[in-house]
Amino acid sequence: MLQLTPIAAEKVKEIRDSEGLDGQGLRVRVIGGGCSGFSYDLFFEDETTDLDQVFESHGIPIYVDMMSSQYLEGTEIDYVEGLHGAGFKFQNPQAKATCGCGSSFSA
Amino acid sequence: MIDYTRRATASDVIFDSVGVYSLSELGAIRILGDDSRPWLNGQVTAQLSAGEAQASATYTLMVNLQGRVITDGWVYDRSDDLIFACPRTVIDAVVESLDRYIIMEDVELEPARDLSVITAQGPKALELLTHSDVADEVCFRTRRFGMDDRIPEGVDLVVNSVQHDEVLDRLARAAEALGGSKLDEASWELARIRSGRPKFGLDFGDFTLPQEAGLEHIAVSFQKGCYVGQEAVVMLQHRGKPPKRLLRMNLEVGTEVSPEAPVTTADGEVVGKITSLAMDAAPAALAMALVKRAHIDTPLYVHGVRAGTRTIIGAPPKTDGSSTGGYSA
Repeated sequence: MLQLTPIAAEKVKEIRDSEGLDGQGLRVRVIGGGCSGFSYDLFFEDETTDLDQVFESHGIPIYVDMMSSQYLEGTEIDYVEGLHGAGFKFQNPQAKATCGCGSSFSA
Repeated sequence: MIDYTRRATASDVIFDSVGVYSLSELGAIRILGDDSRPWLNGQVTAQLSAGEAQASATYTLMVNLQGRVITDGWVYDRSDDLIFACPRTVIDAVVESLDRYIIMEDVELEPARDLSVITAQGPKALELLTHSDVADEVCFRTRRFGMDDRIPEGVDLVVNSVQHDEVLDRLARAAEALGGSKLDEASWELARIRSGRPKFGLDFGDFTLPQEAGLEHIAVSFQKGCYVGQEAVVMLQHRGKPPKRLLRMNLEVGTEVSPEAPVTTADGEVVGKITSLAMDAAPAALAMALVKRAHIDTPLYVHGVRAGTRTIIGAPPKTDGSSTGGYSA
């Protein structure tokens, strides 16, 4: 339902290893707020609940709660570097519009 | 020659002593949960405190993705919850809009029909509290008049609705002892327009951007980071100019003028409309008007009568102290 690009997965591994979080999964969720109403939130976590969808993309365990999954179906997370900075970029087919910095969307 | 010499009116107490008023037009939403403060901060234009209960309420706006104003409101940060008070006319739409942005956060919204808001405004408002025997936890400092700090802070009291009448009477008696009074709606409105404070639903709303009503100075933080609609608000602030501006103007038109009356140039071109109106010392009236930005410095007319002194709401005071964007009591 959600996947990382190979480059994004490499970056996630790099960050996870550098922070000594080996074995933890990537929690991806949607929270209210941001310029366009909904924001993406990423962090490492080692616990899941019964309300989570759990799957793997390029060797990275990914956890998505049931509410966030409604907004993330089909999303691809890439990692891009450019003159304006670097970061994870969400390609979300559920998003009607995205704010300029790409960190929030409307649905 | 138009004589705008002011006669004493009941609204004077806001500028001279203290006026007490029941804000029955407001409805309250109670916001509960561990995530309520950061979550609400992501929905509104002002910076809310991340900490515990606050002695001051925060005036803020909610805007849509295009930056237009859904509502204004006051956030009362109490020890156990947040209370967001906004006009009853839009409260259902506000709850629906807020509810949409609760995903997995620990936040609950519920109408707080058990609460009412009473306010005391004017230079003796805080002194009034010492004479009124009201509990500190229901009192929140607010500034409901003017667009800057030239009118001192007053205080809002968030009280249980069953106590409303008793508290209002007690405050009114204490106000009279200080030379103030309880205000009726007409006097409150006159004081509001005299002070140059826009009102949601009349002077601004989903037909305006915050900057068109000068509200960016009192209700918008440009340092807080993201909130719903922030991109549009910030883009206008830094790259554009508001298409319209809210003006306060004196009129000598007696009872002929009506809310929403067109504002025209000398040639009769319609360039705006009256949004708020209050009779002052007859035959003069005070009005707010939304006017196309290109015409705010040109002679303006209402029903063929040239408007008198005007100020741009929210414009910074002029350095020579002459006509400013604030109030003239």
